[in-house]
Amino acid sequence: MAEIRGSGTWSSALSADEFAAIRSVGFEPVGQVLGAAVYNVGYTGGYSCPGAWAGYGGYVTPYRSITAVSGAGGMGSYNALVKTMYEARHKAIDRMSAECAALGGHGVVSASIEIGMFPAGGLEFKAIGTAVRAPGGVPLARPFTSDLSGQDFAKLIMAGWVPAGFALGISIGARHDDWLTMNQTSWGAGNSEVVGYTDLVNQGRHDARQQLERDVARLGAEGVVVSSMDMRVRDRECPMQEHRKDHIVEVTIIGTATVRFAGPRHPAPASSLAIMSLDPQRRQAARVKLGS
Amino acid sequence: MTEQQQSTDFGVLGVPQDAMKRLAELRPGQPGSIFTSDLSVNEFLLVRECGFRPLGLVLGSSIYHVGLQVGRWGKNQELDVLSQAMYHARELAMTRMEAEAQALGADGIVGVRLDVEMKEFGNDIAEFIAVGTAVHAEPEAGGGGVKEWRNNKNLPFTSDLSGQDFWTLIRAGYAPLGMVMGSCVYHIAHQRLGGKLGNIGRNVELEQFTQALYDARELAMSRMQAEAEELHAEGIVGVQLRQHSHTWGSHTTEFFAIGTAVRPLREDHVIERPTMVLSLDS
Repeated sequence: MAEIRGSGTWSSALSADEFAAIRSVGFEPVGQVLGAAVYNVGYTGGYSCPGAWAGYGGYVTPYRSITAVSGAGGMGSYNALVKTMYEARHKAIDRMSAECAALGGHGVVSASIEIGMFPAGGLEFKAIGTAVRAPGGVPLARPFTSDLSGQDFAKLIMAGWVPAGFALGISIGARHDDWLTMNQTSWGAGNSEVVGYTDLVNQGRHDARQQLERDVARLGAEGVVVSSMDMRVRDRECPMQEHRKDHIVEVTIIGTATVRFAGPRHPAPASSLAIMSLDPQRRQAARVKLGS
Repeated sequence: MTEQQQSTDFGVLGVPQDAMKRLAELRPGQPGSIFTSDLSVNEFLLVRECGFRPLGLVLGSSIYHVGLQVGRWGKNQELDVLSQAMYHARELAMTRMEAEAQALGADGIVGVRLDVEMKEFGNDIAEFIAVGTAVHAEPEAGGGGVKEWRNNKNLPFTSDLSGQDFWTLIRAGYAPLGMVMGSCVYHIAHQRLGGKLGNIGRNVELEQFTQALYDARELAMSRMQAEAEELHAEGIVGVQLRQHSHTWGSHTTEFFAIGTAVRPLREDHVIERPTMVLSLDS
């Protein structure tokens, strides 16, 4: 870090267009920054299933079960795993911010969070981005981080918004496959909504959205612009009842928390300009697509 | 002297420094009126510019089991059980999304994505999901003076137009009423053996298949038209025609037409002349 700061020239992974966009709103790139954390996930939670009913001589399948989401905690919930997911990502992001602060930057743009298997074992969380600074601005205890490209960052600043940080909403929900679900999914069932899975998916996403809002409040920000909402579904053998399955959904929402700022010196935002590009490839892309 | 010649050097004006000062004042707090939005940065700014404020991300979804229906081998026919399924499932998803928007007190939902995804729930089970951003119309939206943005069913308007298209539509003096869709699941007749043998080595049109395509498309589009008439719309914009076979094999296909029904906000529609640019972007 000392070497980079002392050298006076900066390196960055920004493209020429991103660089121009950032400079146009008065920010300067400082250098590329990285934060990483390698985690061993040994304890996940989710070792029991609250949906199976205790009956005589073993567990039985109820007619309609309940969905257990990680945000609510309780028996059999995956909240330990979700907490770990948060902790690992936050560690990687915070370490990236710390490098940014050490270089004298105010925040990181074009940041990406990658997750992969670490060759020697464990799960690796990496956050990489380009640190930027506002010359003469007050130093920040916690530099902002965002996955916005240089152009998107410039557009927000021009309109009077500044990114405050990454906001994450993560939730894992589990549901026992009850009798109603099995009836509704059998091949002869005809057209019907599968009430159990719909409930699982809706509760999972609802919980993830609530966690996202809590994360935004943690930063003290006013809003969040969601960049990706991902849901994965899998099944497992029920830990309580033999020959029965549970379904698990994992929802991950990633966005950028933003905050309005308005100084007396902020130029009035110019209204958008309708343009017609003379570039033939762009006009092709705008046409209606037919077919799949 | 044009607007561009006034000083817009953000660095000189001290704009980045103001932004950092604001960030330094952030304090962790209780979740109050936080808005969430699924819009990209471009869309977010354009939607705000034409006078709409994002309230929150709204979503509705349904996991649906689609029943079995087998078509007669040699006949072109609509598979109405499957058509019904596609309609019902999409309606469930859209209704739930509209209910969330109602709860937020929204005037409309923009940037709606309506998708079908096969997740690992099993064969014949698909997830229908509708996601959009609920918005509230500020008094100056649409040029001011627009009393009611909801449609004639007293529901918030829905629109699958991107932020850029939405901005252009509002500026041109139209308002969206709702998304309209038409769907048709069609069974395409198999060729008879005699016909197949007769076609070997010849360049010939497969008339049955052509007819099937026309019929399916006609059904889907007329259903979409009927939905637009219910909303008393003047027209439908941004129509997409999609064709999927999902998991049904090659002789069963779904024709799906979706667009946004619009109504005029005022008599004159002056569309501003776009500026021609030659981009230096790679």
